[in-house]
Amino acid sequence: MIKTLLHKDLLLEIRSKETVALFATLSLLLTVISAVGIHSSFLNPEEVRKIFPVLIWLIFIFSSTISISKSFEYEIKNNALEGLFLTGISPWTIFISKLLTNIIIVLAVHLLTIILLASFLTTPILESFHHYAILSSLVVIGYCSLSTLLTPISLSSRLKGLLLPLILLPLLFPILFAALELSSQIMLEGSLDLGSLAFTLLLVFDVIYFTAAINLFSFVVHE
Amino acid sequence: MDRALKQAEILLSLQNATKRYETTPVFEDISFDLIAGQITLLLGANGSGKSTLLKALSGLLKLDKGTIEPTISKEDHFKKVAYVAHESHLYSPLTVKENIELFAKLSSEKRTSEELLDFWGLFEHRNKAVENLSRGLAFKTSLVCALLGSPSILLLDEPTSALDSASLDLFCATIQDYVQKRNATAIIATHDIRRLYQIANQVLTINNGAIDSTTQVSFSEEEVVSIYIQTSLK
Repeated sequence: MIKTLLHKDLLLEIRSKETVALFATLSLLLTVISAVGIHSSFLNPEEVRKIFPVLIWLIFIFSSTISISKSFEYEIKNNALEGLFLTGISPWTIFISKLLTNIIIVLAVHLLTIILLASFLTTPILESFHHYAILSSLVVIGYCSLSTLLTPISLSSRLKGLLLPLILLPLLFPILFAALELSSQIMLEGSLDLGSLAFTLLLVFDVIYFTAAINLFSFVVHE
Repeated sequence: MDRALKQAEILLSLQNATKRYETTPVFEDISFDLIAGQITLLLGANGSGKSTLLKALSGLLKLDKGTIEPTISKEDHFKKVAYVAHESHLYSPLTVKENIELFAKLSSEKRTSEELLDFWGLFEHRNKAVENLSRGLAFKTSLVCALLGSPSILLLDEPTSALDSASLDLFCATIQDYVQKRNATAIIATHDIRRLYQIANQVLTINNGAIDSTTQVSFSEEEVVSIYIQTSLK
């Protein structure tokens, strides 16, 4: 069932290209603006390395939060989500497939953005890229768990997609805090400390948000 | 008739159901049964609560009071129900065939999409995206998807409004055949008494939040119109 739904979600994305196109365009624009701004301020390479993690996560939060609400557009249109429920499949199956789709899209665009920003700023990240990939995967799991739960709520409100950043960003603070700490560590020390407090915090909040989301999704979509 | 009904198999029973939107009641304390092998017409003026009632019977809308029997899990109830509403419940960027194949896999349907497309005259439209279909074709696709997995309770909300004459004949014949062969039941919310009275065994009229039920082996068009007018005047 999950495989069928995942195929449907990816096919919808390939047909419409809405989430990927919006996310990639916003990421590219913000990357170019950041690169131009940094080049004009004549920062030395050491200073650029220090602000690189901040830029990466700012671009991620801004572009992903605007585009992620598109991921539920076709479930809401024509009430297709009701059609899925009427087949008798469980809400958690729908949640997992939507979560996997969001993770694939968000992670792919985010990793490309890291490469692009690093090449614009001539910041060497190749040697530590696998650390970025591990960290990004963990951040994206927590981020997508929350956003997959909260997007249907925001789309059914009068504010539509505008409500999502208001409820999502405060909840994301622990994950973003850990992401900033760990990516600064990767950039400055070239390693990812798996025993650090920030890494534990990231793992704990991933588990909390995933467990909460999978248990609350049924309530959210039925109510 | 009463004795025959008591012996009949009740597929779904609504008991003392009440639904309000904020403080405005849509229907209050209504009860009726849907019997195997029967087709029920649900009549009522615009805004009388027909669509709300069907959505509540589908399990997608919670009742404020009352029960739907048999009491089973939501997922099991959904498997028994085919609900065709005003919204198509389809994915608009996907084609007719892709939508049918998706819902067929999810409903564990054994028939191939080609068979279903052929039967409903959708084969030549199979590669069209749902967003480019006419209302009638979208309705047919929606009906095909709803009937996948052989549900025993069909809830059809104004099904005839988008169909042409030939499709309407096919629709009536198919629903009648489906209900009889599978011992299923169907409830059809409609204003189209003229076309649907021939297949009905029960008429439910909803007016001012109350419901009246008349059951017969068959109806004439005059009988159905008279039932509708009498209820509307109450």
